[in-house]
Amino acid sequence: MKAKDRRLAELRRSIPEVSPEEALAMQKAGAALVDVRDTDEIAQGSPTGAHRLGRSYLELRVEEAVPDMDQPIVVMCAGGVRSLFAADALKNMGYTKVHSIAGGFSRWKNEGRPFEVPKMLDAEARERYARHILMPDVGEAGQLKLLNSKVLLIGAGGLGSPSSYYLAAAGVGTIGMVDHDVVDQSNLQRQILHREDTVGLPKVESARRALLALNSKLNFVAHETHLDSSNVEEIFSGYDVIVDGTDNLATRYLINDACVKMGLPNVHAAVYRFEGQLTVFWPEYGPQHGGCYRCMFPNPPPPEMAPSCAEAGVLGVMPGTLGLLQAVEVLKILLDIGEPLVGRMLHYDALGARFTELKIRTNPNCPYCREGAEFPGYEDYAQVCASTKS
Amino acid sequence: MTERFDDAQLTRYSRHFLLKGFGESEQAALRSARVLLIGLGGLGGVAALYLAAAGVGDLTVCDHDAVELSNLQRQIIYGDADLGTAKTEAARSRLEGLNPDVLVRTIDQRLNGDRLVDAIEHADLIVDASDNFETRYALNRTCFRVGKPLVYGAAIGTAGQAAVFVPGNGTGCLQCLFDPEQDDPERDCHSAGVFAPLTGIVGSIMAGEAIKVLTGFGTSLAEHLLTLDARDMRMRRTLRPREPGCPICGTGG
Ligand SMILES: [Zn+2]
Repeated sequence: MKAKDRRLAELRRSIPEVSPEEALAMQKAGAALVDVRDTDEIAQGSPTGAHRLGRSYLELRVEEAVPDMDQPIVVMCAGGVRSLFAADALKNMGYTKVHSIAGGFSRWKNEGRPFEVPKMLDAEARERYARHILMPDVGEAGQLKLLNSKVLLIGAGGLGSPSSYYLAAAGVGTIGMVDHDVVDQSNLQRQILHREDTVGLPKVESARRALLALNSKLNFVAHETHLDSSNVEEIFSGYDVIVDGTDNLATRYLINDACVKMGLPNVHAAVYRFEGQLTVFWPEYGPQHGGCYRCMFPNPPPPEMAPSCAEAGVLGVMPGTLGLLQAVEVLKILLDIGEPLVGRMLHYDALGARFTELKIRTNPNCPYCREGAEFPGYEDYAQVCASTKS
Repeated sequence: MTERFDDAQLTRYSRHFLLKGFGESEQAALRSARVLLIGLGGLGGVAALYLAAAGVGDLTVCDHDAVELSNLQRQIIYGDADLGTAKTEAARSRLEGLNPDVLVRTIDQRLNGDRLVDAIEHADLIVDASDNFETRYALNRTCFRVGKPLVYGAAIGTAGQAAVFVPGNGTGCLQCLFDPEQDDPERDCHSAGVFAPLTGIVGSIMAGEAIKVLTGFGTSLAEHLLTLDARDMRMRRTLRPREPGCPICGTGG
């Protein structure tokens, strides 16, 4: 008798085997069905509702899917052999009720039990996004979500440069950018999306070249226009997340109002000299019920109080870090992982490399975001000078 | 100070000159600086872009890999057309395209022994963006032996950290933070996943720290360790531990 057969005989004594019919009944009663086959096998079909964890990373990923050690588990492979070894590994981790499906997926399918052909990444995408697929927080399903997502960035400057770059790299399928400026030499000290040979071109065109050079599969939508109340909803519609990287205060109010009205998450960042701030305005988000920009600043300051229109200095790398933090928040929202920065504001002091977090209060009487509010309408503010250009 | 900036440069760095405390002498310090950057992956690529954009005059980038498809999920300095090209070459053309004032030198091999000592002696500051502990310890050891400041950063999964080590300031070194006997091979980025923008955050912070050390502007992470978790966006700056008996930086050792 070979060692393999001896070991299998041992496993059959210690791991209870169930038929596909019994496994289905157990699944309906709350058991976790864990499919340990390889991705190319799963691409041919996998039981409906199964956790497709594979074998290689099973021990690393299983707790995410099945946190309760006493939840019954039925393990499936193609023919019922590998699932015995996998079931044994789960038992060794401390799972108390582990079963193996005799006959595996081939018998499951032959007996007409329910299965689906999951949407999968192709081989190239699996290689490209390998480092994401390895993360329990992302995985293949998360990567598919990103590829089907649409993100709109307002501003292709200091904040929009790194955020759009990393969103394109991370595999967000559609990226739109709104900007009506052209690339200037003074941008290149921090706006890494642009380059010497795109000086003078519209920023959205320079951005399109840079982002498609990084990821030629990206669907890039250029909006070379100034955002105003007449076009904001048309431009925003269809996007999942809005990223505010504008340097214009009037535009910031418009972005806020449209996001509140349309129920879109607004990933906000602003930089001033060596300091930056980041938060997510998203009144509709879950338990926090975070407020909107107008909860903090109900109206733009009067002209005599507004900051000077002159350009302010900015440490080159400063908007870079903030734009990257925005990209993180966008991906977290799209993937539904961690806690978005709703109701809290991250403040970054680059001079001291210090981050602090502040709670931000929701105004319960905010005319824009309070519950049941009738939308008060858009305001096209005249030029209100922003604190800075990023 | 060296010669003045021409009109194009005054325009290019105008947003620096508008900063209080950051004048022509700080910009000139960047222009005359020689930076050695080890590792052109997720951390090094973005750090190099921001150092070049900010006007570091002489930038040596060192990596012996070629661009692979799985790099492009986070290494924004490259693109589809660079697949198979040496990372140093692809980075050079990208950096020169961003700022032609920067002299980009490339080292297309793993540095060790005398060559590592040479390269470090010729630099004013070293950026450790490598992806393995062997290189990290060698850089730490040599920087302390030669007396050059070292900017350190690391990223894995959703967690990252950054610090600055300055020989002679008595605030410890990399080896006070980690024990080389116990480092965990699982923490090697080759085998683990990494959240795309996390490497960018750490890389951009490293560039900012390098700029602060080179110009004397602001307060660098010379005594602190910055740790961040992108998952819930928690950032912490803590005073670093230091081992009085550390064989690399300790005075008692
Ligand atoms: Zn509000």
